[in-house]
Amino acid sequence: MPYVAEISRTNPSCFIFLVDQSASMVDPIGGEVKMSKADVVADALNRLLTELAIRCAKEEGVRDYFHVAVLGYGGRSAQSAFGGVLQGRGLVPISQVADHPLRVDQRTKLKPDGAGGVIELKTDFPVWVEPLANGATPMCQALSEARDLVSGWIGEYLRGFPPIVLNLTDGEANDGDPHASARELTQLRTNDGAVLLFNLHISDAGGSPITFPANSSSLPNVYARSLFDMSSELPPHMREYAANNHYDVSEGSRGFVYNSDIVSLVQFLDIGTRALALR
Amino acid sequence: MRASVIVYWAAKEGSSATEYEDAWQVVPGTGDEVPGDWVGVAVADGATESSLARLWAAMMAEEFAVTSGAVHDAYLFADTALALSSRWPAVVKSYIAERENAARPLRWYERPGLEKGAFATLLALQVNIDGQLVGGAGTQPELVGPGFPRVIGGWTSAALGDTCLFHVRGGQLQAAFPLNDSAHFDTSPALLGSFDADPEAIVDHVRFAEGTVAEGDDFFVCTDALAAWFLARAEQGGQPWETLRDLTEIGFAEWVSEERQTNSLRNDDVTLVHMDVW
Repeated sequence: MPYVAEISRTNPSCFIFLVDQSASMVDPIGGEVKMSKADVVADALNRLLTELAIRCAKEEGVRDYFHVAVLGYGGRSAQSAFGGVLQGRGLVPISQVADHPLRVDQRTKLKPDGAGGVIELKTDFPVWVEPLANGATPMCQALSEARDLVSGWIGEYLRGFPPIVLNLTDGEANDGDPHASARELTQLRTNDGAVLLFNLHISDAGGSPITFPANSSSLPNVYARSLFDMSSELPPHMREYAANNHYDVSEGSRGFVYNSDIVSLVQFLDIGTRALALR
Repeated sequence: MRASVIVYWAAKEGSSATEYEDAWQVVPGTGDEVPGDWVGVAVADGATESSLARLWAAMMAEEFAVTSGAVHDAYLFADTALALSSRWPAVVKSYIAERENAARPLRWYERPGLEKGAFATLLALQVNIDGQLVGGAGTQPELVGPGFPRVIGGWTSAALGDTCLFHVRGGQLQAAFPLNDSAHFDTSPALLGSFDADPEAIVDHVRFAEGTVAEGDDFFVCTDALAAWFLARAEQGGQPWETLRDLTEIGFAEWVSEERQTNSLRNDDVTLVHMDVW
């Protein structure tokens, strides 16, 4: 059965994040939230990296269960979006990612106080990637760069849980048809299954948020349907975890999210006994 | 007591011994002939995805091996767990101070885990031998004779999560507790948390079992990977207890390694407490 490989330090897996940094990302997402698409995507990416690092953290540091790359694409190129110490790096062990954010901001989180009110809590918010919006949308190039990274990684970790490539975008590729590049990417495989390509579509087209749909009938526009078509199906184990956590999933559900939160995706992978309180 | 107790353990492959996050306690102790007429065993399995899990598992094993009421009564079990969790904030405070003294203050990625607390499964087993029954006097008459075991006492057990007890008598699996199907193991077992404060949640999840002890019985307490292996073998008509009975301290590590290589045994910390009543 595919997608069951253990994820451990001796048998790590791999995440590649593709971040759309093209000019169209400067547009606001619409609605009541006054954020640009670039803000939303950078925020999602920083939270994804944060959650990955926290899941891998133990007393001695962060365990390298994952190797991580972040490629930004905008203008004419797709390249590493890491800054600071990690500038220009491709795949990096998660421990190094955790140790080298550009900075750690403080954010305020509201939490129920147990008496009907809320209390404000300060939490750390590490930042690796800033919002950027510039030039064209070379999504095909980004998928092609991802394929090169994945190909090299698989050569070294053939027994690993297949790499997950997560594309965060408004979907408006303009360097060709991204389906062909996506197919080339998802044809690569480890002994445990084919590479998984998931998409977070951040759009100003409005409509209801959609999470892990099994068909494209409810999607609002051609960009959303295109990204849905490119997205891999969630493997059974991930789908089961999503269902247990109240996501509306069914057989055929794809790793596609429209204007909604995708950070929970990080929780869909098993790296050992989960720390869950009794309910 | 005419019983021997031996403990085997192995860290997950790829982890060092210091990263082993199971914990066990046997009172009064292990050995070929355990003194007295009572044995308390507790095995806890710290959750990978929690901070200080090893420390929390050790606290649980130490306490539950000796708290006799906790293996009979859900509220006494919860009281014992909550008494432990009331000590946890001081443990965390001391850990943070240690880190600061060692010029290794907490990093941003450690704080959420410490705020969430540590988690572990637990199985506690207590075995009592009745001196009057040993040697035949007072043994239930209907159970004496060829083919019948000589009952010499009783056992009680409490469990929360997927650490399991297997009781074997006369080549038969008498009891598998709390899980009895190899398909029932996953990565989200019930866990005791170091910040648990609700006794009702614990009461809802803890399970109890009891039985008799006879000469020749074997008791195996296994953390989840080994328990799943045991049940899978038994479901295939095998006698996994024979394999475990034949292990030696040196042979255990080798056997675990071989079973992992063939994917028969999931790569996880493994702990086995074997009590052989003779």
